[in-house]
Amino acid sequence: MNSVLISDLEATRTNSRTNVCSTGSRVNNTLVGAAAVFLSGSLVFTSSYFPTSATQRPLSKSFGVGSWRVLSNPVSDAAAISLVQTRATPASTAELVSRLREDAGLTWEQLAKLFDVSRRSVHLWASGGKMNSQNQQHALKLVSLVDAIDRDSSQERRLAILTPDESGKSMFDAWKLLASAGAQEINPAAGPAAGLRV
Amino acid sequence: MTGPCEEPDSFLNCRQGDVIAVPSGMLGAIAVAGSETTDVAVISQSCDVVREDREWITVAVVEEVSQNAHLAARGSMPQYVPLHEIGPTKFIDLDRVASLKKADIVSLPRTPGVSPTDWDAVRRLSRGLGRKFSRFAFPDAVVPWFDPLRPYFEGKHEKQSSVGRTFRAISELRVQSEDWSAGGSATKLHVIVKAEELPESDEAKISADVLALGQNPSVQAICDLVRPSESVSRGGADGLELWNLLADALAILCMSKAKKDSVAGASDAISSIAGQVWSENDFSLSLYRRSEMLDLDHLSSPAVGI
Repeated sequence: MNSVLISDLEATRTNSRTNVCSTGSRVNNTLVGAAAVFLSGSLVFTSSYFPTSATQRPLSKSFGVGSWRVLSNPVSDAAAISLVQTRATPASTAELVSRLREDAGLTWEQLAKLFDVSRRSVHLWASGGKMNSQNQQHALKLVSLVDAIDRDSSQERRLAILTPDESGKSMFDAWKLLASAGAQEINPAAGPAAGLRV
Repeated sequence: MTGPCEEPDSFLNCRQGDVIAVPSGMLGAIAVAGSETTDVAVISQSCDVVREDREWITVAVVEEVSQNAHLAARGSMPQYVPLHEIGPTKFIDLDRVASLKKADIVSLPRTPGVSPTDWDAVRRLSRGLGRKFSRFAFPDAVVPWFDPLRPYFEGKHEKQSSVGRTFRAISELRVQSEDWSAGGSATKLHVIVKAEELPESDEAKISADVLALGQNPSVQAICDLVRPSESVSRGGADGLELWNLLADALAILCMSKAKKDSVAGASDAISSIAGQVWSENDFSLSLYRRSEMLDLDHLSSPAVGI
């Protein structure tokens, strides 16, 4: 299995605060969770649906919360991340949605399915409505995945995302499953829960 | 009020909710003390009751609830299911249930507790029974996380205030986790709003007074803008954003105010809670199957249980 290391997120706003989770020198309170979840191995990106560096296109675009670069992991199959990130602002939710719409060529309905939310919620985000932390992290993941598709136009990327492979599944199908993952870690010393109530 | 059921010597026309006065001796400890007979209601599903190959029937004691009848009637006491056909204070007590041999009670007269032609009442009976017996068993450690929501749905829900008006528009709360028994799960709180109450986004920019609420406004501040009066509610992108903020505010309440020290393992049971608002019309069957109803009347701290 060819796993993926998401690394070196480039901050693109020179006037914004930059946080480096991997080195621990500065920590962003929103994105530590994303890193922790990925590092715990709860997400493993496989090669067919999650593009690797071999197909990565240059990070030419910039947007409000930075962008991610996806690299192959030469060491192990476990997913790992180090990232550099800027704090997301309310305005950036609209930019995130806009970026996904423009770069991936996805419809509102398709975006709603990728986030496991209603279409009206995606419309709201596009108008600057608040995006909760789990969805914010999911949006960043999706942007990084779209970014890594080696196609020149949004139409070609859309085709790459939606076209099923020989198993009948597309990248889109796989990405939908990501919607339930991603968490803001607030209890790093998590232990087993107590017994079930009957 | 409907009269006695026909054909009392068979169960062919017997229905869920029918009331039968059975000898108290058949019921053991759950019978009404000092009374020769005890009224019970059939809680077996009607299709099962009429089948001749089913030897047993499940019944529950009918109780006169004089105190707190209004709470029981509105569903705040899931132990009780109303039997309004026989009186406004008559309820099925689902904590006192027994199985009886059909042959032993087939000849006893029956009275409908729910009118068979009142489909709303039939549905309410069915939901009441299901609510009591089919609810999801949340792990003990998870329950304290949702306790902070209780006052909003118990106390303020009935009041003529912006909070009361707003919360009455909520149809259901559902919660979702990939694995409830694994510690540190990321949880979603789905706030499902009555279809006619959740506005469509008009794609306009969000107004200044809504933006001025900031990133984490209080429930009160949000509700003051959502439903300032009975006849006024906020629409368009503003209204949708306010509901969006409310879902988030409820999730934050759970994260910040839960008394997680009261139950072993509670503090580590959940890593995050994210609120998500939905219209009844938008919430999918797929999500329904992946989530559990959050029934605040049923959630009880294990510390207060027997």
